[in-house]
Amino acid sequence: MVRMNESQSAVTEPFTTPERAEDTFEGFFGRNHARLLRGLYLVTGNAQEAEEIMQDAFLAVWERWDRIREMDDPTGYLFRTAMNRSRSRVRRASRAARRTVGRVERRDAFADVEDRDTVGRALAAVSPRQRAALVLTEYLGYPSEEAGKILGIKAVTVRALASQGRAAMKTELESDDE
Amino acid sequence: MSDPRTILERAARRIDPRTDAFERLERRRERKARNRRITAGVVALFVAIGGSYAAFSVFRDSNGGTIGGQGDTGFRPSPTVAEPLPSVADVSCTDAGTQISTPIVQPQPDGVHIMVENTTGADLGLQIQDFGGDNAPMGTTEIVRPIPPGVYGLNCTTSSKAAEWSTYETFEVQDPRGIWVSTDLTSCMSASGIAAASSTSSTGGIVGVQGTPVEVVTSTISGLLPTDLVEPAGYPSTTDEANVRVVRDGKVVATYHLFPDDHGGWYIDSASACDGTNLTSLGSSGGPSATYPRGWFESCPDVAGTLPLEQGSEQDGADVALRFARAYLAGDAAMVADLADPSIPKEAIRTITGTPDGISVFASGPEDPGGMVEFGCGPEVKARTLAVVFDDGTNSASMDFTLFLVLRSDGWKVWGAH
Repeated sequence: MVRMNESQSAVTEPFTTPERAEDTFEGFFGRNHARLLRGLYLVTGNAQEAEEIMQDAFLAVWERWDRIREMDDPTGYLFRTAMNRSRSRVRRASRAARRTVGRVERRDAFADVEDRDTVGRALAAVSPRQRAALVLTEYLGYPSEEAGKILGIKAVTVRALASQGRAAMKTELESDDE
Repeated sequence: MSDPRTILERAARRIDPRTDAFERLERRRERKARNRRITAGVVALFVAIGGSYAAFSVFRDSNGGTIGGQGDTGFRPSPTVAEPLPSVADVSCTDAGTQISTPIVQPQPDGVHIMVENTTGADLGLQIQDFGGDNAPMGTTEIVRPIPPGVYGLNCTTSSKAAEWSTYETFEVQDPRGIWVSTDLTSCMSASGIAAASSTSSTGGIVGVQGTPVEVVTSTISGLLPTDLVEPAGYPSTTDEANVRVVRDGKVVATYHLFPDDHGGWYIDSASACDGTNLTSLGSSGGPSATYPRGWFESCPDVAGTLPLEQGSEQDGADVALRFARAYLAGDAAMVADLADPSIPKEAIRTITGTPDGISVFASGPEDPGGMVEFGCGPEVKARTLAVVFDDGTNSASMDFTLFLVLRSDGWKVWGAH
């Protein structure tokens, strides 16, 4: 079961209902899709891509629902699947871009924000990996151990990435104040 | 507003989940199922037509040109209703081991798709016997590899379980649509490897040639005849490697394996050609050669004094490789010198990326990825080499690396990296 931070209640549409083995997939979807979609949007910076990845992840879970519903943490499995797919898409996109037009830097919507958009610029200052760590720990409320499992990295690395991300945000916001 | 959570919440409010999200998911699921049925139907139709034609041909040939031959028995070939082949292999990594629910799969244009469901609670690797491996982290992951048609062993593995070579489950790649273009030489009395042509940038990265893989081969190979056909081989839509072959008088006389460099170009990683074709890599010392090192390696270890690989000892090798890589990345020259093989120059190992805490071993064993060790340093070195594959800790598979070790009386020694 995913443990949530105390402050998680402040997050939009918090996930607080424990999974039950008798749950339907539709119920599981209803409880998790908004949170997953918003989390993926924050990671990818692209609403359309976030929805694609969300649907892919839910489909993968749906096809194996009989087994996944019996797991201790179906939600964790869903988020891991979504993050795996997000990484796979980045890898494929970069390979395809490299083959067709040479080396192309991947951009996300946050990198194209207007100067007056403080929130967007704060997020654009954070690398995608740092952003993923921040989203999982700060926005979704996962402990760093759980976030590490989802991202396939060590908890200490999650903490380091989140710390770097916070620092980058802070620097961006301070420069905005000047 | 410097609190990261506040910023994230504000940004997240920019996207509103659709009210019909579940209905959209249901429609996507139906589309996916329908596409699978259509693909399966088309494949089944082709197989049935092919099977009928083959049966017809066999009976016509063996019976003087008529079905049933003398005194028609009334036999007519009936269309074979073939089981459609799945285009994605379903693999489960569970605490009970590796399970493959699709023992026969067909490839897609970019290779063989393997959907790995890892429910073990730990990040694993997926090892494909005689082919290499990939990450299989917790959750469901789709892996795409350019595996040629054939029968393979497949295993979910951690570094500690990599020694269990006997636990491979078998699966077969069949290619009824003929997507795979063979990279085998077809007409050789004998064949040799060709030294790969490439240059190295000031930062140590390999610099290839701009153009498509066919253009790169055409422009860098000498000995091509005007009538030679240089064409793509392997799978047509792979992006992280490419194969090209040379067809002369209808026979494949040379094949080239290429990787993309980091500058939008391609370089030839390895090649082989029929003896007598005079197909050589520009910049190589000239023609087929058995002189080592070649290909990827600038140095090969001296096999004298090395010990045979013993099953079960590779965990120690993987541990040494991990210590070596961490020392290398941390700049611990003394440790690097202690763990490097004394028969190679110290600058021979440089393809290690990542951070000391970020890297991890995900597979080790005697497999020779891509045949590069045998090509580069010969069969004797290959027989004594342990390959340890690392995840560099980033999302980029292209940054992962492999260390090669030999076992000497004073322990495992690292002799190469890729």
